[in-house]
Amino acid sequence: MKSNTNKKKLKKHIAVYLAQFAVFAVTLAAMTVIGFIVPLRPQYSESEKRELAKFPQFSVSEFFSGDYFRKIGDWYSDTYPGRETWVGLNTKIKSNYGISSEEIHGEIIEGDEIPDEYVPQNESLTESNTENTANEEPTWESYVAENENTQTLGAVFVAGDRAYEYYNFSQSVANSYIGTINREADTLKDVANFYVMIVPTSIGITLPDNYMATINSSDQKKAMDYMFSGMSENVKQIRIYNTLMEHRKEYIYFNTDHHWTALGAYYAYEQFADASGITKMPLSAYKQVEFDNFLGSFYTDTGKLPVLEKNPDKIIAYVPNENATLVYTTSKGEQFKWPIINDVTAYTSSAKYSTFIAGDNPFTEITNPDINDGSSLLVVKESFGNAVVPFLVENYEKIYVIDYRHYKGSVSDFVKKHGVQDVLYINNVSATRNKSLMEMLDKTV
Amino acid sequence: MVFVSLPFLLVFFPLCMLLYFTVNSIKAKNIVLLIFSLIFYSWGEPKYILLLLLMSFADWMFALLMEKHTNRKKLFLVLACIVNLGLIGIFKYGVFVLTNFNHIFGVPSQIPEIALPIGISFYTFQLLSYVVDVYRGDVKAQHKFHIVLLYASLFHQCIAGPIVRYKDVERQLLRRQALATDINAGINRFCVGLAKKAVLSNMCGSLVETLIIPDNMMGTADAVSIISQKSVLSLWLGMLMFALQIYLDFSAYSDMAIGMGRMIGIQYKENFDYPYMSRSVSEFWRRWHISLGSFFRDYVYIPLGGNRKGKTRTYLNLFVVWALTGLWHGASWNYIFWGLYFFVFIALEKAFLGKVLENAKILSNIYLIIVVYFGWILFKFESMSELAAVLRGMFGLNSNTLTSFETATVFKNNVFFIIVACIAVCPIVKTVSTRLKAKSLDSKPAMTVWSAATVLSPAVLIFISFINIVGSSYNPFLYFQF
Repeated sequence: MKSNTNKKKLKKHIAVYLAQFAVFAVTLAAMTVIGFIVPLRPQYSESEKRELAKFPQFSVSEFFSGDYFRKIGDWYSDTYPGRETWVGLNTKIKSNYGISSEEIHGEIIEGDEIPDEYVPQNESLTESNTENTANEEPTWESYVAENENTQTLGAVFVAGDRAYEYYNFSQSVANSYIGTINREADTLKDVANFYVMIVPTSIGITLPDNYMATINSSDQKKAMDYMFSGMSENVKQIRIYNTLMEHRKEYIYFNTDHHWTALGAYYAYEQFADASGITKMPLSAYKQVEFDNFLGSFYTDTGKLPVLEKNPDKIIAYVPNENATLVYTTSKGEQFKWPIINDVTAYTSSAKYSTFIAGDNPFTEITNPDINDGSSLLVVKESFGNAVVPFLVENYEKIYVIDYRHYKGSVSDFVKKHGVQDVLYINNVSATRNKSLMEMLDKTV
Repeated sequence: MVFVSLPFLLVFFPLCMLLYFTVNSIKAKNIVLLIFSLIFYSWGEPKYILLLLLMSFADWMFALLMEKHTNRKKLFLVLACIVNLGLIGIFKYGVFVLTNFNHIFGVPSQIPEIALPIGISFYTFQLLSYVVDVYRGDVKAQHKFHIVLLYASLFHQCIAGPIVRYKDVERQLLRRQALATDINAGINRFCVGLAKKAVLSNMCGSLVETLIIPDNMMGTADAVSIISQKSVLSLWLGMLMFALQIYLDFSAYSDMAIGMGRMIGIQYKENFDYPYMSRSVSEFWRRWHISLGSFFRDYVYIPLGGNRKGKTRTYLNLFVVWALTGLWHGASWNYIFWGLYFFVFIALEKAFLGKVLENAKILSNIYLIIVVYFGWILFKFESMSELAAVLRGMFGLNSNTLTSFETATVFKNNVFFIIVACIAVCPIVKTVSTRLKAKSLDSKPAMTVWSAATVLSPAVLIFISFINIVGSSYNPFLYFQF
């Protein structure tokens, strides 16, 4: 009897194996078929902000070197239909790999020790850099292209539903920054008022106290004190660290993005106004607009972390004088008129910081027709400056904005040519540890 | 091409299987396999296919010549060895030899750059074993070139092992049949291997990069300072992850090869047998990369006289075998030292330690794990200064702290994963599933669980692997753009 039932059971085993084969084959076949539906394949990844790999052009040399087939493989994998869904799902699975009240994404680089005070030394990144022994001066285009890869975020720390970028002080890069600023300030001595504002990042301000003590991120106050200590007497320093610390409980940095909010930028604006003597406008002088559902660089950098997705940011922007006009110039030289605060409601959730002054462009010019005193300001910045500029519109007839990462000319030439009265450098502290960015800044001297 | 990639999984493999089961005759099946194998190899490496073809052709010819001119067998064997070892010598060890030559004698001043042909270490050894076996009369020379070529180039094992012996697969290359149970067992094995690599090994690898040093920083000027900053526990945990990674990675390739072979009725021998469960270094090497160990045993150790020529000679033979085993893993001194490191322990075990270990149950396993663990440090770092930095750091001699907030956080973030990875190197899952299957004959709940697990596991594993592969291509471009 028993052997009979066993036979039955064994038959069931065979049925199970058949089912296994069927499920496996159907799964694999479905994935294969979907892969062949070329129109479903994405070409651009919104969250990664890059063009996905393209199907390669055939060439005999690439065929024989193997690149042709490798590129077909890259194209196949990179543009597989439903990419964004799979990437998100992958991160969701991985967030279950452990206890994740705090998380770290990316490689942590420990910062250099920060000296109390800058000791003058003959140091410039481009000159002292022995690795860079290329004889030819790189063209601007190759320069940008080569450096693109190095401009990624540092390691990202996630605590609860907020993320922060690690900051590692680099003395050599900080010294190069000091040198660049001093050379520029000395050139413009007697020509214009020269202001420098170094913006802390959220890990130095809004990170909860219990992490501040233990986290392996360099002390931003100390780093900024160091950099200011090295700046020439021609530099008027805008030290905003303490101000932001006083407001650290407020919504001055984004949760899912490395930038500061317009509110944070406003406190910095107030301090600039105090230092420069311009009239400090109250926040209420501006029309307030809001854009919901901003999921910024931290969200994309962590591969769409679910905890961040549940805590999207709200962008609150302050619109200055509606008569003021903004014209920006692209790197190709085209010019566009654009709102100072653009309606980004319909933008993808990762692109909403570009509401401020049309995002990052080589050159931007804002004119306030209600002011006719000939006053002018030049802001030299990377993206942290974008949030500050709208507040300044009420104070100057002309504001020029140069993004040193894209601008090809010389800042001092520009100032002299246009008779600019005030020059304001706005640099976030994370940029001052980034060698490739500081090399770009140096090129604009 | 590599197994763990979408083009292989979703195009190459299904297409190959479809064609394979569409055609009827064994000859046609072999041609399908051969064509796919040549495409597989050429995909990213079209030039070196010539090397594979040339070596296979030479060994096919030498084997035939041996058969024809039995009195001059030895000559042809020597010629075959010269061709095989000469080519691997040039392509794998050329740069290494010249660099060392340059260090000692100052010449040559220019060291050519030679890219390592993928899989050369595996297919050279396979072809060598073939000619030696023909020479020894263990197997007949194969007259058809395409069979020899298929044996050497078969994409299952051509680029990452196991090192298959011709005599083990000869019959199946010429006549084989895949039963339904073979196909199922093959699918299971393949999916397990795939997930081991795509899900477990790759994640272990990324933890190694976080905890010790990113791969792209190794060998750079900053490497030592990066390693020196890591806390003591970070390095220990990092090396544990490396030990897991290297087993999961390597055995995953063997799993996939064995699985794919099984699906079409070719039985490859096992290549890994839960080596971390071993209780002595000698046992470890009988359970780790078995096909390599047995290759050196059969084609080097025993021909040198094995243990039959006295004690001194035995130790000398072991020394040679372990130096070569180390060298096989890579053209760098650290691999040779790594091989000799094992020689020391194997010699000790042969002398007296082996007997001690037999009586110490758990302790002997701990001993083995410690030896292998430190061995992996030697294996991982080609640069002696990086190696020294890791060893110093592990004992807090880099003025590094015991632990750090980051180390603790990374550990907490991955604690469940680490537990799963540790389970994966033990035979636990295998034991449970075997018992469950046996029990399913008597118990209805067991039958239900076993059925559900069996039906779903391959599909789930391949799907999770797919998600991991897509996820790992996620490469956000952050130009401080917005």
